[in-house]
Amino acid sequence: MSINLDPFLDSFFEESAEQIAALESGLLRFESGEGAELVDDLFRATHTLKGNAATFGFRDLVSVTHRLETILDRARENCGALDAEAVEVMLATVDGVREMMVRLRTRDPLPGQRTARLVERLQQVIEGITSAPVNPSPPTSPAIGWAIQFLPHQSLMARGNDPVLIFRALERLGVLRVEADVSALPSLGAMHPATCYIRWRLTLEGDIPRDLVEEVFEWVADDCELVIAPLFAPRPAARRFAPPALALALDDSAEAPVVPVAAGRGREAVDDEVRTGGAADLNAVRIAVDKVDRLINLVGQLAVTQSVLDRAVEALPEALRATLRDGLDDLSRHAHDLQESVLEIRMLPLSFVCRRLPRVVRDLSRALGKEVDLHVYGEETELDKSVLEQISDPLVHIVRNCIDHGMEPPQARRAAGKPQRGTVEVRAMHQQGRVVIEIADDGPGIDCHKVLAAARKRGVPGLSDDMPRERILDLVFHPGLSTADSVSEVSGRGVGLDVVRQNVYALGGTLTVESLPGVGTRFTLQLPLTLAIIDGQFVRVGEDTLVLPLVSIVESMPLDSTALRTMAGQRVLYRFRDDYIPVERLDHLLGLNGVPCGEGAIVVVVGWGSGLHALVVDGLLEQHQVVVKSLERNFRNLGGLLGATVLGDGTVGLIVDVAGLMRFDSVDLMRAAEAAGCTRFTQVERPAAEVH
Amino acid sequence: MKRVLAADDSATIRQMLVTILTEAGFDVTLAADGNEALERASTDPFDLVLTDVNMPGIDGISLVRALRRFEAYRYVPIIVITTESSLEFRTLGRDAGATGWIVKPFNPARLVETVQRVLV
Repeated sequence: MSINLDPFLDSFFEESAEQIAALESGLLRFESGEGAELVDDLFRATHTLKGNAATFGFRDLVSVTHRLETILDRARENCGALDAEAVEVMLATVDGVREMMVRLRTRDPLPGQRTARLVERLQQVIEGITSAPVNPSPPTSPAIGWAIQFLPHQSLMARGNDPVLIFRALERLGVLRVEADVSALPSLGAMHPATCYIRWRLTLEGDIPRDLVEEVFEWVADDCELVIAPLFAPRPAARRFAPPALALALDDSAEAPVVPVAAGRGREAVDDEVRTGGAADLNAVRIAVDKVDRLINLVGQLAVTQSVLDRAVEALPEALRATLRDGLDDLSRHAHDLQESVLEIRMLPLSFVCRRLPRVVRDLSRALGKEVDLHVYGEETELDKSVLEQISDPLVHIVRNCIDHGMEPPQARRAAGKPQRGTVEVRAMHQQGRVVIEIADDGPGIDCHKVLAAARKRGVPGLSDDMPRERILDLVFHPGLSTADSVSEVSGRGVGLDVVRQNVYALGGTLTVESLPGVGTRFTLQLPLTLAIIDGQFVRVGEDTLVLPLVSIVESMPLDSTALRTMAGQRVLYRFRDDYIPVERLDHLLGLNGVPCGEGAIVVVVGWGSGLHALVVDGLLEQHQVVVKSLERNFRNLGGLLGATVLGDGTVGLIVDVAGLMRFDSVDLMRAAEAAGCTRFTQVERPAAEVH
Repeated sequence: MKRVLAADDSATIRQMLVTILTEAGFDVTLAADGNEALERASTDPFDLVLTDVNMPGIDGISLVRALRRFEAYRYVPIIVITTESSLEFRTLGRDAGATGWIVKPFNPARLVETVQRVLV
């Protein structure tokens, strides 16, 4: 019988990620001196992780987790004591294990050296605590046949074992002959049904390895006298059966007394802490996301069907219409409730993302010699899994930014009359159908003069000394702008805040910053609850109907041709609120065949902050919610398009990715794209005449 | 159809146990910890109990001990699922009244074999 384990892999990875996260947060608490009571839970998490890894044959993972487990086991015996060095090594191991998971998932070969180094460091910790563990070596020799004396203790059946089952198992190995010695049977009246009174002599013929025979008796080894001897040996040497594994177990336990899993003493809180993912929660069901997505799609179809019916009703005679209308209203209400319920299935608490943060704060503040406390509020705030997955990196980046740029070293804080330890607060809440996450520090605040100076150095256009403060602050999101006096390891490492904002925009969210000198800085992330359904503004462009996400629309107005300005490079700008912003026909941007705008063309201003963009369309149509269907499954990822949706008349409408379009605004990007031979970008630079 | 109660706090292992054993023709009931297992066992009769050792709340060893106190479970086979690193649990399990043990990682065929061994 062979069973393919692949179907369980997803579950394995998901569960393992939870265990790794639990391990990490536990270790961090250890470090701060609490957490000793967590050691049992950490041990269990590691233990399960190892067991599961072994089940799937991930040997490197087993080898690493086995050592982690050994360290935790020793710690259990020491009443939860772990020294700082051990915690440090274990945290490094957690990172290593995470990387192993990623590679296992992508079936990318593991670098053997890395694993070997982890194992080596762990081994050093283990040896620091105790002498190296013994390696079991079970040598076995095959025999031609076996003579077995099986003398059960009376208690054998009391543990649910049954001699008959043992004989059946032996029978499967070879030719079995059984002789029963019933001399010890008492009279019927004195007989206890669950007591074993019979003794057996067995012969088992066949070329059977000894360990297979021993294995059959493994469970009853301590409940019987057993002699297994080669069948044809001239002088059978009897010996009491003791499998090598069991002998080792006894040695082990003599050396290291077993500490049973503790119970009681406020475990609930501990369990909640460690079991963040609720792996043991029987009230929860794990569902593959694509199944939920199918549901969402179906619900979306329901909405389409409903709008088809809505139109059909209008064509009916008045008398019929009234009753049908009532029914349709009900249908509409139920469809809406259904949609909300289905979307709720995909909701996960923010804690899934926030649990990365303590580690980030710890590592970074250490590396920078700063003292920072992290407080997270509203972790239970739920948002869609797809949003959650993509918000993790931006959130981490902002928190890093707060510590790197927004936090003074301890002595500077003391000098400024602030507490020596800085604070980073993450607060999440629901606000008007969106999720708001605030990341605030109590650092020195952003220096507007420095920002302005840095922007001038970068040649950012449109700067002036009397710019409003919020406009200056907004410049921190400008590509390539840094006010850091020196490029630290942290800032040198990755992307800037501009990319973070891009990513947030791409999600249909916004990212803003406020800052008060001497008080601190606060970043505010606003996110949609879900990416699966958006409020759409339908627009007509030529013969096509397109959908713009309503959230991205700033204003729409009739096209005023006097507000158009042609720039030197033949770029066309549109005057909007004392500012000139890029303007383009929507169909050009998308590479559709545009027709020149007729009378009554409409300008839709989209975007956020300083990145506004005017889109010219031929008409505004209705607004309503649309279910976003991914195009990527059938086409490649199309720049400028978020996806598609089915319109009321059954045709397909493309949904415009405003954040993606806004990237067209970056001249650098356009040049790069042109160099790469991307024709869509070059269309932005069409002659001005076509816009009219 | 023989009824098996399987307790393990790992969702992955539970999923494997139910898939493998159901395919092998057993009627499987799952429990995520000792408490849950005890609850199920006290309301329904089972022909076999499989339990992990390391579980939150009532662990596997305590579960065996508790089950053996029920008249209905005095002689029902109870198999403890353990790992190499916790060999000592075999002794503990035995003392608590477990029929036998399976060592993790188990391969599916061996699991079925073992279960059949005590149930067929």
